[in-house]
Amino acid sequence: MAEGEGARRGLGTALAAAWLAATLAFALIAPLAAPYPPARQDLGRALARPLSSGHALGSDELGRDILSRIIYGTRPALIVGALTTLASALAGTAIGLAAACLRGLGGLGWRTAARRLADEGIMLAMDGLLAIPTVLLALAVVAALGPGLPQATIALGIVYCPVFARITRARALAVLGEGYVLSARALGTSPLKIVARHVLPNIAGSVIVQCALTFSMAVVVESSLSYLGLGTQPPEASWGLMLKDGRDYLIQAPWASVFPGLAIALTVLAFNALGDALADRLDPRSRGALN
Amino acid sequence: MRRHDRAGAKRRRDLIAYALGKAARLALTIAVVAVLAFALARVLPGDPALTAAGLDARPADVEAMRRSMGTDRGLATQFAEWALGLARLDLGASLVSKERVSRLIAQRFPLTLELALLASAFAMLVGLPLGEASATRKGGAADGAIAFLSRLALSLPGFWLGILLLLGFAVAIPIFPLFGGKDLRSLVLPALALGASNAAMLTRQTRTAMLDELSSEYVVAARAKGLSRSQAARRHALRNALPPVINLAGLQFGALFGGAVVVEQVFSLPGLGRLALTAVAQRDFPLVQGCVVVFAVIASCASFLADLASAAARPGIGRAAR
Repeated sequence: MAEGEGARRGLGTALAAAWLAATLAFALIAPLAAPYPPARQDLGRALARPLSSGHALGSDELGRDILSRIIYGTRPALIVGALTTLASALAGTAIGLAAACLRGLGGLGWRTAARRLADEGIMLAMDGLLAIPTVLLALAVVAALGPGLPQATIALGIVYCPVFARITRARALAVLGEGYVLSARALGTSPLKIVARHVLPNIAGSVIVQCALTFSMAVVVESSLSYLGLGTQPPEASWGLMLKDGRDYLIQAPWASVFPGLAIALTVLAFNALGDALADRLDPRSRGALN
Repeated sequence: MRRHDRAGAKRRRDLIAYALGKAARLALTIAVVAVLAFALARVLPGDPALTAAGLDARPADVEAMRRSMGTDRGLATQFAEWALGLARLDLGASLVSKERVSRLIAQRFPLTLELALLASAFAMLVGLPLGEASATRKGGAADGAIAFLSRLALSLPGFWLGILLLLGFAVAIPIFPLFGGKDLRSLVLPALALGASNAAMLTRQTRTAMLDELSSEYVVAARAKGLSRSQAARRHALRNALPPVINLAGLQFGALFGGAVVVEQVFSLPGLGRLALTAVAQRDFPLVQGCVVVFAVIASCASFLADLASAAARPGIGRAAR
């Protein structure tokens, strides 16, 4: 890597971290930071331009302050992103580890065949989930559970679980085939201890990198679901919902569509940059895969 | 000459075996999707009959609704019925309009297919040349600019890009319609919005694959023979770099149909995505199931075909493939 490129990437990572820290801070102190309550309507000052009196980023068709709603919108974005990432990472890693151990820790004979079959079955189910396009799978889950933020979180948790399962299984199988694991098994170390001591530390890097990517995808899909009217419900503020409301006033009030989207794009950009930086540090095998 | 023939026959056999293996996997995946689509609607909490009858319906009404929907019978019976129907390409009837689900889907399918094909073509027409340019100019200003652009395109949510495109080319410079019609012109902006992130991914994949090939021995030999870097790239490396790019394009094609759900909403296009969305909003679960299966079959078939195409394009697939 050239020195200039390294410095540029360092700067990019620092900016990304700063943006994410600011987002988190705004989510925590939204009532203090926002100039207005997010749902306060002021029909007399509807569709006010940006930088007009009292509305730094303008107001929407009900006279609600765009800046305040963007600040409050950090909450659903971060909460759904964090819970989705946590849930899918925990479930996916557990499933992937189980599948890898079923295949990689077997001995000989019919039991091994049965364990392999179980592994194949698990991965087939994951492939089936992966075969359904992301947004549609989320829609189908929301169709069963009904619209709303908690439901959207569950939907996204299910959507991103198979990715973690596949990554974990592949990396864990590689570790289980290493010489030191084979010697540990020959010495009679229990499978649980092998997983805790050898497998988990070796796959943690890949899982953490995937977490950053999942977080950024979850922010996008949550805003998509809210845009479609199936995520955050009015009058709560969410970036996707703001874009949905703004769509009908594109001509009169383009700012109502531009700023919330900018918030989404910057957040996603920041998570992607952070993911790349983490990949360089923690997961050298994936280096270049993101670039 | 004879040896050449024998190698050709062996390669053909390998390819056919590979295709058969992939086809079996495809059939299995579709079967799993059928189970999942059924499970999503029936096993997750939430009673479709209760929703269909309305929240303030009397218990007797809900019971009647369950009977008319067939959800009063055991899960196994219901699943058997759904699977048998599926085998005859019968996806049941919509709860709302009472029309056949397969007919509803067939009506909306052409528009979304056109949109996906346009987006896919756009992604390839942009991604391949940019990826190649970026690989042959590695480390240069063009490479940096392309990397920046593709990172940007990957971070913009497709629907926001769509809104920006509308602002630019339907509001500020009104050359495209603000609300969708069915002609090709109203598909241009949606296809750009849908295809942009794919173009970025293809650019990166092409660049990575090209760089791998450019550092391999045969390219070094070609350079030693006197070919310039770009000649060697175009004549030798590009062809060999294609298989992973084809694979990615196939995976993307299926994902495009998922992305279409949001993009069609932004551009008010009456395609398959909006049908799925309406079905979800009305909790019309036969239609939701139908859409899930159709989308998944399209995605699986696209990636199956891409696997085959990339296997055919790769010199030693029989040995390299699992």
